[in-house]
Amino acid sequence: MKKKNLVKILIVDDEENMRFLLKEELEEEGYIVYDAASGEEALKIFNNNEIDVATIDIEMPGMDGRELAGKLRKEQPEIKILFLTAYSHYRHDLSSWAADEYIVKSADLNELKNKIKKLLK
Amino acid sequence: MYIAKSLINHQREELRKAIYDIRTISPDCSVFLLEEYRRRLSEYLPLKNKPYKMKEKETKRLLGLKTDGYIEKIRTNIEDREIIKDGYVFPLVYKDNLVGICIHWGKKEINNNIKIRLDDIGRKISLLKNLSEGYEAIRQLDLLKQLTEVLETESNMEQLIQNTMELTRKIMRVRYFAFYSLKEHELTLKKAVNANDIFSESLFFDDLPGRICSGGYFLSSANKDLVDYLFQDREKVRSFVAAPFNVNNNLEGFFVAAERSSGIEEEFRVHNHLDEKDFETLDDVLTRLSIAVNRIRLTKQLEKEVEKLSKLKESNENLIEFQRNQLFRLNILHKISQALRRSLDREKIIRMILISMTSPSGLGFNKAVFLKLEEKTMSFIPEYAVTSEFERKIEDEYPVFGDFSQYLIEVSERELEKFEELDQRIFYSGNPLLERVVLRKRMLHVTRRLKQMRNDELFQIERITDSDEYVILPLSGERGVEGLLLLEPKAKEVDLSSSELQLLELLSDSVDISLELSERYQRILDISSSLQKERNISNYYRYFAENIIQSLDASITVVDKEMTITECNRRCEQLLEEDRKDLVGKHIENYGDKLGDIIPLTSDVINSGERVTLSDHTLDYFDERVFDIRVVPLIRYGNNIIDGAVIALNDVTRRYYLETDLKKREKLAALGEMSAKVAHEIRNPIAVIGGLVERLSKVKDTEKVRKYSEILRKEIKRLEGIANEILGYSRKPKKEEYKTTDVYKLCKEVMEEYRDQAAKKNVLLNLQGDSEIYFYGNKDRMRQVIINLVQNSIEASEPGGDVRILVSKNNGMAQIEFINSGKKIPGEISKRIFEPFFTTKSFGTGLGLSVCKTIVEDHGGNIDVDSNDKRTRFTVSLPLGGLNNEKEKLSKNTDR
Repeated sequence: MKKKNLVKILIVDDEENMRFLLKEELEEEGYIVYDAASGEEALKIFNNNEIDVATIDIEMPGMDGRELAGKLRKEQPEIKILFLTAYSHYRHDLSSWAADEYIVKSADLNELKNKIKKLLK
Repeated sequence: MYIAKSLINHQREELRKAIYDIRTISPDCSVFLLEEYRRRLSEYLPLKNKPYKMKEKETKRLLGLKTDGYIEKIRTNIEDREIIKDGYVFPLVYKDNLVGICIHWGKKEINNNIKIRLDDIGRKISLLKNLSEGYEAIRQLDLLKQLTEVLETESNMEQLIQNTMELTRKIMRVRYFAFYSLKEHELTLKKAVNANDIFSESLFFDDLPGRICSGGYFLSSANKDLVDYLFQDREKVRSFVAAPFNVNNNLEGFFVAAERSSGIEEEFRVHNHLDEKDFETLDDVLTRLSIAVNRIRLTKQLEKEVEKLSKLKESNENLIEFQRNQLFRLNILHKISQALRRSLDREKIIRMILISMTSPSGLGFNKAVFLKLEEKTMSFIPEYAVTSEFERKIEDEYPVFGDFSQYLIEVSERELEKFEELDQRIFYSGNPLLERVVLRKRMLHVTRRLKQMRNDELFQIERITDSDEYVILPLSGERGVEGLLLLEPKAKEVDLSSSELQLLELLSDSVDISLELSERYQRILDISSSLQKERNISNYYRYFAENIIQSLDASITVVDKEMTITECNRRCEQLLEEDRKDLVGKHIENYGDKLGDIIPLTSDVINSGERVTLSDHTLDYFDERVFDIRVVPLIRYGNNIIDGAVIALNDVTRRYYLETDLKKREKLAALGEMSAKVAHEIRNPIAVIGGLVERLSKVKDTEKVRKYSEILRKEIKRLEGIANEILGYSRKPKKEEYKTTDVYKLCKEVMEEYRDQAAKKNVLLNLQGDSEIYFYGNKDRMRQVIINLVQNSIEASEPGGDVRILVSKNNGMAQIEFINSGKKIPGEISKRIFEPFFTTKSFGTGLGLSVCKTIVEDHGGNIDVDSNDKRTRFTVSLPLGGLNNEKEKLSKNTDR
């Protein structure tokens, strides 16, 4: 397991305030956090940094989260991917199964933090 | 402490005795003590009336002596008079510390006996100094403890500074103490302890106080400028110290301590003025004070932020509560509509309305009155009144139904009491307010203000209500308004909100439809009963000639009075699995296993002479299959004698399952889609708000708190926007959204979008007409109208048909015609086609055409349909707008 302060997390969400909140929360946990507003932007960051974990929103304009997850997984099979979405019905979507975790957005961020911790073990 | 005091006094007395002892041997001797800070010598227990004072230069020379010895020309002063004398100088030393000197004036040498005594004096002075310092340290320590307590616990700023100053004054043993606060280059005397007239009231922040503030200052009265500056009465001040007061690296002013108290018994201090050590004490206190001030300010700030946050939270909760209520009311409305639609009896419909309005599980009005229209007198007569108390009683009598609509149906079986007071007739003719209700079918919301303004028109109604606020809702059937509903809100003081009024308007539409349906049903019943009378057996047989009966899809069985089969068709043979020749002549009871409860039913029909129809009926033998069953009596022509019955069974299994499936799936899909969208829209802001509120409790940084609050505000605004959108379906568009639009171009855009869909169905789309015909209005809403009509036209067309759209100018209106070659729409359907929720299709909400009508009428236009065997045409007319008018004006001008 990597040291916590060396773990790099990429947040992909088209909602600016959501990104801000996640960044604040995860940085406080000691991670190095990058954020991207779209799938395209996320790929650029991913190519220039060694990302360990990516939390991805599914519904985004342009490239959607499932497509992005597929691309990341192809480039780097050991990457940990979490889908963080406001919809719960994607949980049954086969293409969502490429992710390691599936979380429905809620006010409680502990689920997200715990699942990241679990994935990094 | 007392012991320390007496010890010091005792030692002081010992020292005095020792010095006087030496003077008995060597009378002309002076003892000088050393002021450590200023390295100055001053005489102790003066030899003459006034003490000798030693100038700085001379002090230096004498202190330079390593041992005792004879010194010539020692320069001293007594009251500014210079005296030069020779003498033997003996340094007073204890453990290598010089504490003073002793001069024997005029002597060249002193004997050993005196030297020993002088050593003893040196020791005594040193001891006294140590004792005094020790005592002082203990005293200060106790006061410092009190100060710490104040600095750490006081939460009031004024009190903090006041208490700190008083304690510091005691610690430093100063008489006067003041605090100057700096604001915009002006120093104001903020607080003074024990010294109201000593200090200047305000100072201008220039060079002199600037020096204090840049690093502190202490001096005796020597600096005349500064003394004049700070003190009104300089005679009273001989020494002071001043130190800057910084909070968070911000200069906030300075503190001044002046005049050390003298002649303190328990103290042995060489000098009486304030020194560097005192300055350090003051500086220390101020550093600690600044931390305490900072603490109080941060606490205050934090309290404010917390208060702000709790307000935000509250408003958020209110919003959610409001939405919840709204959903709850919509649900009730839905239940009421459901119940209304399931009844075709006008009286029951009216009872349901009254009960649903006043029921605590319904809309919860205090009282509802139904007034019936009497057309010939142009008046309304109160018929029924239901109050919430009455309603509560009913609810107690009935079992509690989980389903409100079921409850309404059950309760509506009960008769209501008639309105007792007669002659409360309300005439609407000539009453503008009521005429508006009746003729324009508008709801009337009566508030206190309206009452004051239109009392003349309202007094008739006030005879049946004493509420300060009420609503009058027109109820209309086919022929227009048939009655009024008067509603009193629950609490007298509460104003009905606009959302509640909107709900009532929605409900009134639903009631109108139900009333109309009930009227229509009544008419159909009348017609069918008259038909029944005219019918005779010979007609019947002529009509259903043998071959027609045989080729029918339905199974037909004819029985006589004794229930013996006399005739049947092919379907019947298949159903009963026997040939016709075997069936005819047999008693129908032989087929009881298959026909089940149809047999007793047939017997009933024969006995009563009344026909029976069962829709979507299942029979045990044919499991899973669904039938429409009709049993009709055979009545002999002319004398009403019943000869038997005809049993018709129509297998509708396929249709039944298709219909139920389709309806269920569509409803679920629409509901799922809608709630998923709303959930997504709401979940995002709620996640952000929740997350940030959680973080707020952890974060101390003011800047962060501000940033969070800003985001919270934005997200709450967004939630509000979503709520408005959900509630805003009936909102009229604002005039600002209006602009001039080319009708032809707009139609063209829509047509291009639907070309593919039409081609799939092999329907030809065709647009004709003039460009540059403009209307003024909301382009997006009008596009919705065109889309709905184009879509409808395509759906109505048969494959191979065509849809034509014609744009033209007609009677000063922009006119769009949508013509399709589909089947004729029957007259009674075309009458109702623009009503909300009316649909003949098995899919769709039935709102499409009603939305079109609303939008077109909002624009001051109208929409019409006419249909014949060859084609169906929808015509939309809109007032010409914008460029049209300008162009016309232009062309008129050029004509002249």
